[in-house]
Amino acid sequence: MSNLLTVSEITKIYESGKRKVVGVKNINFCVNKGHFISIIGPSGCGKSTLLRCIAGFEKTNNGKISLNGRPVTKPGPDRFMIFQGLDQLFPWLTLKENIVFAMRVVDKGRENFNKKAEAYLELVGLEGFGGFHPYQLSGGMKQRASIARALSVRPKLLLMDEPFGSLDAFSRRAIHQMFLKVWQKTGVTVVFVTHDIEEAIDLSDKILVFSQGKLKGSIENPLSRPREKDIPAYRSFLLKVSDFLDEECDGCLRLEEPSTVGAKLAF
Amino acid sequence: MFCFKKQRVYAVLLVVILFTTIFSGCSRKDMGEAQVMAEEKEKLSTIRVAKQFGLVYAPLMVAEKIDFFSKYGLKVEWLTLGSGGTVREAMAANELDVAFMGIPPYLIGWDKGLPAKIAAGYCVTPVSLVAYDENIKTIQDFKPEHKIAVPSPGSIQHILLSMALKKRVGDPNALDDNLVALPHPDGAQAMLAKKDVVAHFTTPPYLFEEMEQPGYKVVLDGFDAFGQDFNFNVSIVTQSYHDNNPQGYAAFVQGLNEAMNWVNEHKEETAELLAPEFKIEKEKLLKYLTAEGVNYTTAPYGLMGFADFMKEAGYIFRVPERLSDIAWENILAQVGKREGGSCTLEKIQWSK
Amino acid sequence: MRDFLWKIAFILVAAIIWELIRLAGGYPKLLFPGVGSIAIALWTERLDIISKTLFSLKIIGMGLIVAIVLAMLGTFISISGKFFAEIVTDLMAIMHPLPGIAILPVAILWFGIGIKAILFVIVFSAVWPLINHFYTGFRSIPVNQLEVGRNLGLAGWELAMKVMLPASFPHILSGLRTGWARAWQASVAAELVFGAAGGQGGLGWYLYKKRFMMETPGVFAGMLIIVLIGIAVEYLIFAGVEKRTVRKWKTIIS
Repeated sequence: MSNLLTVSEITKIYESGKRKVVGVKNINFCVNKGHFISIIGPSGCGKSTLLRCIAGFEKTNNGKISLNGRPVTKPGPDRFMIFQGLDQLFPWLTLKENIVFAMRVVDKGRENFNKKAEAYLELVGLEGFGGFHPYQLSGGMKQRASIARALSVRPKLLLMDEPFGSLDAFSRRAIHQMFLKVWQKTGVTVVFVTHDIEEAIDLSDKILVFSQGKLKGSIENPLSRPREKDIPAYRSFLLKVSDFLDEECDGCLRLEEPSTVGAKLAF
Repeated sequence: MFCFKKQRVYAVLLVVILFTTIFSGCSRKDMGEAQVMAEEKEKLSTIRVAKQFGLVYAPLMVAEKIDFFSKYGLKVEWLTLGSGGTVREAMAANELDVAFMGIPPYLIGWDKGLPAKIAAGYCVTPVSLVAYDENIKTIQDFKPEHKIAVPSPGSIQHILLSMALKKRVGDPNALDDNLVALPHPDGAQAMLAKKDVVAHFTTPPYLFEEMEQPGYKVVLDGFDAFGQDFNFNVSIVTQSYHDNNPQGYAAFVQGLNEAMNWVNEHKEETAELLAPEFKIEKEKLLKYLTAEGVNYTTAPYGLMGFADFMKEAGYIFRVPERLSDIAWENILAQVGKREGGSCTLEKIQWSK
Repeated sequence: MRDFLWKIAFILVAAIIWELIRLAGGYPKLLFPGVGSIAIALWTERLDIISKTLFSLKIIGMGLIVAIVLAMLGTFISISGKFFAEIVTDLMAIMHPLPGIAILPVAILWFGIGIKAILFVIVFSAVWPLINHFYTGFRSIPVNQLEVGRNLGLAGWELAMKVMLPASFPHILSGLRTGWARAWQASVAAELVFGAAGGQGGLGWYLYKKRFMMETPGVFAGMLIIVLIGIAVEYLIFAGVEKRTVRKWKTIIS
């Protein structure tokens, strides 16, 4: 199994005036190609910060992030981010145009954008919605379209920052099933940030637990796919992760990292 | 079709009501006769005069300073207004009884029905087109890129230039695209800075100031363009003031005569009195007041001379048939009416 | 369109009221010209009015283009750093309340009398509201949309043109509206105050000339044209653009 993402000794400190706030400190981990990794932890534990560092939106103070052996210095389409906010689609474009826009920017030489855009919309279950503008869609549909757009530029790594956090329980369940299918079909590597333990267990191969800007542990998911919730193995794993979290994050509530406040506004 | 929303209908009604009340409030017809009479009577002792500034207005400024009017029981309300256009508009709106303006601007107003006539001539003074470009010696030498400053369209300077152009080039509008409307001080400033304009049609003291500069020369003399002397300004009085306040009218004309005469007999005192107003030295002002061609007089000169040309060139649509169309009886009496052919005074009301 | 028809109907009603008041009050033509004489002035002067209108539109168009380019540059500079942002916002606070016409004397000193001075007044009048709206627009772009753009590899000019511009379009549109209105007012005001140079002039100069010739119906005809152009630009251009863009995208609350 090859090693796609390597994060070594990453430290990020935010400075606001004279105050220094630790975002993340001395983080080390690797993600194998094709794997689905979740990062969980309470709000403000640094998980979003780490994701933004990997995406290249934030400069790190120390350490190294590399993708396929090449260091990450700035944002690029090989690591595509999907946000929690429902406003990440461009409102002046239709769904299809949103996807074509992304493909055109990234891959200038390619052709058949329209056909490919339709294929990606079909992949996320939005066939027939290509001509709709974002305001005409539900929250779940918007996030599906964002996933389609992200996949259309064929990233090596999908970075997902609580992408389903603004959705209701029904939409969430449906989008989970859809996304797992898409993941298996495309073989894309995923780093998924959430504070929902069940979501992490349902979706990922491995769970990284964050607290107070530090990586507290890494738990392999023993459950086989497709995952059933009403089996004892699921319940015992859920218990194990919760206990671990309780132990590590006891009374560790902190302020949100300043940089992600804007991005997290739910609409 | 579109529907008339209720609120909009109300809004329109409101506007209608407002309009009607405002304008009917202004309408004098609605006032009782007695009220009008009382108002006119009260006005007897006052007259509203537009105050103007410039060397040519020296008698007016003296009249204000020394007050030649109160001994005739007349109280003058001096109003400071902007341009000549504003003065005419104020007269049309009956906000002003007396104003001083060039004969052409008056004729433009008269043509449009401004209810006012000439009560006095007001000075004869040089008006000339000055240029500094050595290649410009006559009005035929202007090229399309040369800009000529005149105070405003329809001003005496503009009409004089058109008259000269018609005589010499055949087309009164030949230089219309070269004209720039600039008030006298701005025009003089542009001339002295040799910026933007190459020529300026102006009057004293700007004319004298420009002529003091080396290389500045007169390209066109106003008297040449007109053919003889003419009043630079005339004093006009509205029909309603003239008819309703005969005493006030007579007092104003006589006061003006006195002031005019006082200036002629006391040029040094005038210079002393007005030097601070003009913010120049007394000696310089005296020089200007006594310069050749300056004539402080209330006699009428060339009153009828502009009309024919102005009609022909399209500035006005009708011409006064006789002097009484544009002048009050004191002027008519001065000019007289010689049996068996015009006398000199009658002749000089027309241009040659 | 219904609104447009409503405006026309309103003008007709106003004309009737006008005429009624004039007849009832017995006002002289000099102060209160009849609708008929205004119509006659419009017809007999049509060629002059058309050429003056075209000149006005040309000079305003030129001024607006310059102002838009300057405003874009100013906005890009001000979003590229906190230091510049402060300079631009301070400048805006000082300059924005200053009516364009107030700088006419300075414009004449710097550019002389002529088109350049009027252009300067137009540009000055339009540029501050434009910067104000553009800046607000750029500042209110959703962070996620900007980051999607950056994620795709866009930066600098490309990011600005492809993402920031359309994302802030509602603000840009209202900026253009204000800019147009102020440019239009400035051109008329500047010409009214200072006339025109060398036979070239727009509707302001037309009003100025008619006023000095005491042709009151002509003055009203010129004012009517100014109003009609204002309405036409609003309804035929801005409302149309708005319908095809921000209203279609629902990026403004209608």
